[in-house]
Parts: sequence; C-alpha cells; structure tokens
Amino acid sequence: MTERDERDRRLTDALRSAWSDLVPPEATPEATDPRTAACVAWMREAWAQLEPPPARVPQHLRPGGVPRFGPWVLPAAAALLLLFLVRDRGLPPASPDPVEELAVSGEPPAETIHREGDALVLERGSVRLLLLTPQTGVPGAEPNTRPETEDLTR
Amino acid sequence: MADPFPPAPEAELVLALLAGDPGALDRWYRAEFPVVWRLALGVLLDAEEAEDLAQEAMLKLHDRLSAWDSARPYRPWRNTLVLNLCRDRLRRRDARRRAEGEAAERELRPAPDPAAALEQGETRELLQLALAALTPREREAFVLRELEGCSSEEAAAAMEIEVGSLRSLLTLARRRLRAFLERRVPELAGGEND
Repeated sequence: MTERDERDRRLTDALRSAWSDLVPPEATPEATDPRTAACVAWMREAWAQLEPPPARVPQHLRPGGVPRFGPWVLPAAAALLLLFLVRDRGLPPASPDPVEELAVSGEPPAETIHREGDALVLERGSVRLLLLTPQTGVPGAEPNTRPETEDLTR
Repeated sequence: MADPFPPAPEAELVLALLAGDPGALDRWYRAEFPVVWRLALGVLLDAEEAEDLAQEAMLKLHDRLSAWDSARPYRPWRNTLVLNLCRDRLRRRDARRRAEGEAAERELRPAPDPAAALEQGETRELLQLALAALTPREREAFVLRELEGCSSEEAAAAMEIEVGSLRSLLTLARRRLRAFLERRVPELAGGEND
C-alpha cells in the first residue's frame, strides 16, 4: 500500500466516523417555523373539540352475556330457512307408505275362495284376483319353470 | 431523554381485565373507545364509518387482548390493529367507489365547501377537510404523532415503519396542512403578506 493509499484510507475513515456521529434533529412542532406550528396548534385544538359517540359496552362481552354471532350467521340461517320453505312448497305432499297403509287399514287379509287345477282365485275386500299357471304346449306360452303356486293364505 | 415508549395507563386496565377484575371491562372500554374512534375518524374521515369501525375494533381488541405481550408497549399494539382495520376499510371503500363510478359518487356527495364550513363554525368539518388534503400515510403519521400525542417511536411502531420515514411523512403532512389552512382560516393567514 502506497503512502497515498494510506492517506485516502485515513480520510475515508474520518469521514465515515463523522457521518455516523450525525444526529438528525427531532422534527417536533417546536422545531418548525412559527406559521407551521400555528397550523399544527389549530389542528390540535380542533381535534380536542371532537366529541366521540357514547361508549357502550356490548352485552355479550360481559360475563354470562349472550354469545356473539358472526356476521355470516344470520344470513346463513335465513338462507337455510328459505331453502326449507322452497323445498316444502315445491314437492307434492309425501304419500303414505302403502305397506303401512295396508297394515293400518284394518281390512282382512287375502282369502282363497277357489282352487281348481292350475287356477287360483284370491279375494281381498272388493278385489278378486285370478291366478293361472301357463300350460306347456299352448302356443305363445312359455314353459313353466317356476315352482307351483303356493297357497299364500297358509 | 424522554422515554420513547412511556407507560400507558390503558395497559394497566388491560392487565386488570385479563386478571378478571369485574369492573375493568367498563373502565377499559370507556377509556379506549374514544381513542379508537378518533384514530378511525382521522384516517377514514367519516364520523359514521369511524363509529362503526371503532365498535368492530373494540371487539377485535377484546378478543385479542390475551395475545398481547405485556412486555411490549400496549399503545403501538392497539394502534397497529386499528390502523390495519382502517386500511382494509379504505381499500374496500375505494373499490366500491370505483365500481359505482366516480361520477355517481360526486353526484351523491358534493364536495363540501371549506369557506362555508368555517362560516358555519364547523371546525370538525374543516378539520376533516384539512386531513383529507394529506395522503393516507401522512394522515396516519400526523394523527398519531401530532394529534394523539404518541412519541415518534410509538407512532412509527404502530405504522410499522422506521422513525426516519415517520419524520419524512410528518414534514410533508405539515407542509400540506399549512398550505391548506392558511388559505382557509383567517387567523392563520396572517403571514401571507410576509
């Protein structure tokens, strides 16, 4: 390192040291000019005249208060209610279960009123049902592969 | 040298509230609500919106009090929460105004006349107009430091910026306010002919 380099280095160090010692002034109103200070003072006075609305502690913050609902709860509840109403109105009234209806109707069970050969006649209330077993050899008839008809009343 | 984070009486109330003191809730709420409302008004410049936001902020503060680290200063913590809510509200308001169209907005809410406001003695109106002459960041800095009396360190911590940046914002804010007020408030216009 030459003597000139050494001198430059010392000078740089001195400048850096002086720079780091600089303290920026506090920009308080007192430090500003009187006209600006007057404006700030006017603002402060006006600020001090502000009257805040009354502070009312919400009930739900108190111990034992009603819990607070989020802003989404009421709209969600309303939407759910609307959904139920629309659904109930859009569908026909639910029909009763036919099995249950039979069970509670009090009508007598089906009764065998006639049996002859492959014919069986059942009757229940005002309905009469004739059951026939297809015979083999009849044109268009399918072979009877099903078991013989049983007496359902047994 | 003054304590950059002086002890806040509000912090004592918070500690009492957290300790289960039955009367602390009322005392804390009544002490804090006006401060929170003023801060909201200073940033939002709308009294109704400020009241609405203050109530929301108080609930949020109450919900989060247990998360406050009592080893850290209380005021910057509280002010940061309120400022963040205000910024969200301003963003939503700007987006809504853009969507509705500036023309419609102007038609609905004509710009108030500062001279008329002063004649009617509406200091609050003029105060809001003066603050409206600042950018949102300048407004935050000015309200915290000059109007609410926070130290520079407290205000900078609340805004989450460096103290140097806060000072720059304050310088710009004072300059703008002086330009605005000297033209509108006769008692401040004395130096115009200097």
